[in-house]
Amino acid sequence: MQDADFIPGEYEKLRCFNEQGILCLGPVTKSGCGKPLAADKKQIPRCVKGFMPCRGCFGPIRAGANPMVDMMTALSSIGLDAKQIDDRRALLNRYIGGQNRLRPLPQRKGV
Amino acid sequence: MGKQIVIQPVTRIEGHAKIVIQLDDDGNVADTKVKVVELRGFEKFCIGRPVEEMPRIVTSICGVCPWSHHLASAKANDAVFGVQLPPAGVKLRELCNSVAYTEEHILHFFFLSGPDFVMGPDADYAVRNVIGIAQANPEIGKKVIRNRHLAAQMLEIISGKPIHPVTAVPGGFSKPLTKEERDELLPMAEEVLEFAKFSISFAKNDIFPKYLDTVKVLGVINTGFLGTVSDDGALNLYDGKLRLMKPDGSYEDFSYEKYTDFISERVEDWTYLKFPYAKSWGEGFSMDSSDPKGIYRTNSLARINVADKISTPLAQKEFEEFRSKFGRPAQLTLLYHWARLIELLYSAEHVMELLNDPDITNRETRVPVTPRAARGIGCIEAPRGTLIHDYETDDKGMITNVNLIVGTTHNNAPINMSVNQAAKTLIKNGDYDQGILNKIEMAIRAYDPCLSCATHNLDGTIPILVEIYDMNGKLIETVKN
Repeated sequence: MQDADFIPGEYEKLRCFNEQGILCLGPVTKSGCGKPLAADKKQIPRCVKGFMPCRGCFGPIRAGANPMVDMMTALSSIGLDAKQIDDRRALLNRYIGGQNRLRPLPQRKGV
Repeated sequence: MGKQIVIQPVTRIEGHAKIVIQLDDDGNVADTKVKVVELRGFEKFCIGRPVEEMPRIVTSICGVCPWSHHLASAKANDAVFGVQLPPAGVKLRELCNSVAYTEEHILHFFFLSGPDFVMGPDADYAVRNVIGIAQANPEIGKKVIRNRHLAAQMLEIISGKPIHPVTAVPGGFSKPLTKEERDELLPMAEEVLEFAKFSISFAKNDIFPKYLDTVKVLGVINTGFLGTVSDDGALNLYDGKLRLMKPDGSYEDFSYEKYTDFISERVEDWTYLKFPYAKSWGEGFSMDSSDPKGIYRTNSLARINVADKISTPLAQKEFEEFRSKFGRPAQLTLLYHWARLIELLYSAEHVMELLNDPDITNRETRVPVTPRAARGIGCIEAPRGTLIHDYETDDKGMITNVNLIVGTTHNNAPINMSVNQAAKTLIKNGDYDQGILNKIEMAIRAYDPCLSCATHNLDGTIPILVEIYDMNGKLIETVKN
């Protein structure tokens, strides 16, 4: 975090959170939360306005989307090893329970 | 066995509850129970999550006081990572806490409990709500809604997201406040302060005098109190030491990390809510209202009772008046409302103090953290009482154990006792009407309970009973853990 130089108000210049090493679901979410306070202001997602990464609280972006797979691809494309993320199942699928996707975890062999 | 009266749902509180009043053959009250009828499970499903995610997960415990959970969790995180915060980080968190207090106290006084006083406890339930207030006093109604909105907008400017906030991070606060934003906030804060002044004078002149007789009898019990004070004994809503006061007014101070030495919890088989009690008094637990044992209360009245003074001038004046009128500790349950308005004034003044502090716009709002295996305890005064978050992590910083004690849980036993007292005083010889039943609800509302917060627990110690009925209302199966 220490080398991330945020300038409040200048969200366009904000460097991608994932590139900074902060896990952000931006690549697979569609915002929807950003409400411009005034007509001349830009629509900025609320968490980003607080300098925090997105975690997809508006749910999956489309029917049948698989955000975990999409997110792993996005992370790989900037040179990160997605498999190193601890607890990735919970981090990347956080707000999809409402779409009836919660089900028992499959038992892995040898675990 | 006589008749059973069930009040369900209890309205104008946060969360779901029902009151069961059992009458004896003569129609007098034999027993009462406040049953909490919902179940969450946070202490279970948070295990295995990264600890730095906790401040963003626990906000979902409650949509009314997410800031309290958010900040208590962030404080527990600081302890887990073992870091010292830069001053601007602490002040921004404190600012958010105070603004959230103004919002929530306005909400409780005018939206939730106010209708009982403004419209009268016996008024028809169709007008005994905030819409009724707005119709009877359009000017006040407009002010109430505007000022609550202002507080929410202030939180949005400071942190981006006012409900389910995200900006308190381990080691500080993610977003610095700019000078422009500060200048935008100042007039809003002034307006809220004016409204806080108006609220307390309105309540003192137009509302409380009318109900002094009710205040003296409804839900009255004698208990101890728990609240947070600064080192100099002043009321503090963000940080400090805990003070546990006995019913006779003597007290002991302790650091919140040691809460398990002073507080213990008890489980009853008819509600999902635990009963905390004062372990350090060494007298056990009893809800018998003639001789209660180990019972203490939290929330506004408790904080005003344990504090020696208030650090802001206007609230201090109100505080002195309150204390000279009602003594220390003040025990009358409905005085919670009065104490809440003193806190509203204090919070509004404190917001102004913080905004005028040059440190608040400092860019150094956080320090870096590294994961480690540790235990961290965070404690904050939530509007509804002392809130404790207690986490343990493994060496990767993943959660291995969570314990949450929320404000309303502390008040569980007192709420039950107050309802019992209110029912016994009001229902005689089987005589009751809507007004009387509403007065019993008022005894609950005084505590501003948040039951969706208080029932965050699912750990196997709480008995769960599922009753399955067929379409004719016949019980076909009972499932227990």
